[in-house]
Amino acid sequence: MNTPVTQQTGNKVVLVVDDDDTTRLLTSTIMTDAGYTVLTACDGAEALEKVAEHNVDCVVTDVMMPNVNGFDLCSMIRILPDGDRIQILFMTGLDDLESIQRAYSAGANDFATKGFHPALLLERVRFLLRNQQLQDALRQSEQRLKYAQRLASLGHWERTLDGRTRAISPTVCKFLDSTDPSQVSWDYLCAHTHPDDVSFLQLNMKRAITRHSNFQLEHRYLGTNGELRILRHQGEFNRDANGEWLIYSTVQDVTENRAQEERIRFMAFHDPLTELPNRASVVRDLSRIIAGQGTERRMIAVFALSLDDFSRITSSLGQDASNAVLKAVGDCLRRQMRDSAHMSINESGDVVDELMIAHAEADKFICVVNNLQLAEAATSIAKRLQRTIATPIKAGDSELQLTASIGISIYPDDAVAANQLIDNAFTALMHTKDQKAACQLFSADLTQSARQRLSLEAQLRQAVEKEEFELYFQPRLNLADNSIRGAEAVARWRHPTLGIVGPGEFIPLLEEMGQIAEMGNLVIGMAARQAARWQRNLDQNFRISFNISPLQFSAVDLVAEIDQAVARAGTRHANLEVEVTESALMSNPEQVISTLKSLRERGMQIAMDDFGTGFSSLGMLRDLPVDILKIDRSFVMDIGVTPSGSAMVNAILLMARALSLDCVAEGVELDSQLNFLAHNNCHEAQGYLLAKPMCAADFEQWINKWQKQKASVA
Amino acid sequence: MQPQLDPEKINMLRGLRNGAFLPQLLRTYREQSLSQLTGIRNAISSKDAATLRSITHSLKSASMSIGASKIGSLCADLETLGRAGNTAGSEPICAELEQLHAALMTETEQYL
Repeated sequence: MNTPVTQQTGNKVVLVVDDDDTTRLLTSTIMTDAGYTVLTACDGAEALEKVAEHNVDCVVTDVMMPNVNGFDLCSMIRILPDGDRIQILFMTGLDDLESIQRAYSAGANDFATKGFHPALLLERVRFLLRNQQLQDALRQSEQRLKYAQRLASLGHWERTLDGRTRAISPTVCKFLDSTDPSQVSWDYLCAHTHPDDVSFLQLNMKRAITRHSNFQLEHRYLGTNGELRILRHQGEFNRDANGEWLIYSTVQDVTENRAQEERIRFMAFHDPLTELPNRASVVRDLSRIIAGQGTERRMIAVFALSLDDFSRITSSLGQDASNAVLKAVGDCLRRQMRDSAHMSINESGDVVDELMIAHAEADKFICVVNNLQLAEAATSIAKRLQRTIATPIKAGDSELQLTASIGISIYPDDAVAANQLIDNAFTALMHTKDQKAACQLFSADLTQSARQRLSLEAQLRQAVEKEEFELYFQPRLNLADNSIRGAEAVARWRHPTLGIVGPGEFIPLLEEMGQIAEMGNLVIGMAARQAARWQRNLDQNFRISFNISPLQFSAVDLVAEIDQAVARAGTRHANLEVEVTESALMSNPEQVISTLKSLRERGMQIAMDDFGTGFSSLGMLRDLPVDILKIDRSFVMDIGVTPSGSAMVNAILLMARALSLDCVAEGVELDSQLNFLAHNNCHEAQGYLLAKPMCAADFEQWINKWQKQKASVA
Repeated sequence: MQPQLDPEKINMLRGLRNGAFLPQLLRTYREQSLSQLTGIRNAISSKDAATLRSITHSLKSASMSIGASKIGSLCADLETLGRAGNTAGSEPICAELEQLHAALMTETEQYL
């Protein structure tokens, strides 16, 4: 039988799934001869991989197969993004009514009986694909309408990934100063984009194309008469009816909005009279400097400066003249700042850089000097500022000789927050009242909050030194035989006065303090020692899992650290397991993956923590060095609550099975959840239903009781 | 003994790729069915119902595909037994299956 190859069949991809060689050969030959592009798979797991890798239009599948069967395959495809457009046809025995019903409820589109006539099978497939085309067309027209409606004032632009225009609205042509839509392309846009923005624009577009991710881009565009506009593109990726990826974007001219925003921003952060930055601006910039310092705390001096007797000047010269004086003082300070910026060593030999100057209010100014080597240098800088002010200033026809008093506060001694530093400088300034050209260092006590935080940090630093941490263990139940073969270790801080403190309260602080690696090493050491003990006392294959912070991967040689701990404790790598979050894997993939690979080669198991809360895709999971998925508690909570909740967990379990990964469900609190998980072949479970995290001694007692109970039941 | 292959089916299969496909398909079938028969025999002697079920299921599909419906239905009978967790009573069916299969091997030689 020869079926002519038509245009319709030519670019459609059909996946034939069957574990039986003869049937698979026959079906795929029929499909190939009809002109389809044919892929084959021997079971559901292989089929899933093909679906993840290729743009499959139609799946023709057997029902009974090893590993993942046809029903499960179907359910899993339906959960994939875009999985609902794939047409699925089941091949069943004539007599198998039950299978046909199950196939439909798993989301099958049609079925054909085995021992079929090829012409019949082809007709089924053709019908399904025609149906799909209609659905695609409908979806696309809905999409176009959505774009059109979203904002009538927006231009609409549809182009191919290599930048050729498929459809463009007149509005976009107008923004681009083009009278001929056919000349507009991505290259045309880039050619007229402001030279400084071209690489930004191309880089970001390239990145979006690689990931098929939604994008928002803004860039400057040069109109034909040299006019500069700011264009904003917002877009997403979708396939057209032929399966080709297209970029659908809206284009907007935001020049006016940006100019207005710029004015508003300027006004929010500048004094309207002197046009110097205002206090809010100093707070913002100073906060940034402080945040950027990390653990190395270089001194910063904040000067609050006020003109002596300025109210007298205002009342004698009038408002306008006094405004002019303030403007002149501002210019003078600004000049001083500019000059100093070039001079990195002041006259006392202190290295300084980054000066900031601001107009706080009326006759008050703020100066900031970063990178002070000695606190004493602040006084000499203050003197210099005072000399600058003392330069005679022209006010109308006469010249004025002004003096200024200055209050000083120093980071980090006097405060650690920008606002507090400025307040303290003004407090010091207040103490100079009635004096002229005075200078006062802030000397009051630290603020309460700063002290508390510093003391907690100090205690925590000490806790790391004194190893005031302890591991708590939460058992993991093996659902196949109700045995306990492992536990997750969680760090607790035994605080001298606060008692036991959970990791949520100190891990973020440690990360901020840059001490997470030291803490992490302690955990590794403790976990290894405990593993050695339980390897002897409980079960020689007992496994302890512990969490690794993303920062640990870059801070220390994790592999060497673990090797050492294992050797010192006298245990084996196989008795340890690391838990890494999805986001850690994504943040620095190369380094993290190579570290995990080395650990795995040594026999350690790698678990992906909080699975389902990040963005791991099916395709990606296969390439990651991961053995275990820990299903996040948020999914477990939904079991039996919503139909999609149970389906989601089941889908994760099936997917894990297809990729030969074990699953551990976290946060199991109810019997019904446990039953569901056991019934659906989840490997292990942990949660309050079983036990809370316990100290090692309690854990040993608990597990003894558990084993006795188990023995008595058996 | 009656021919095992459905002549209509064979005609249809001959139509694929101007007759070039049928020998390829039959070679695949002959190869797989020989090892599957051994598998069925082993499963019965070791009373492994699950294996009996999965092998006969696969051989059933393959036999239907080439139009050997009698062999296909014998496989279906064995599959039903296997599904029930049973290998008792499979012996005579298996013997008949082997007999028909031998005949099929001879019959298919002419098409290779």
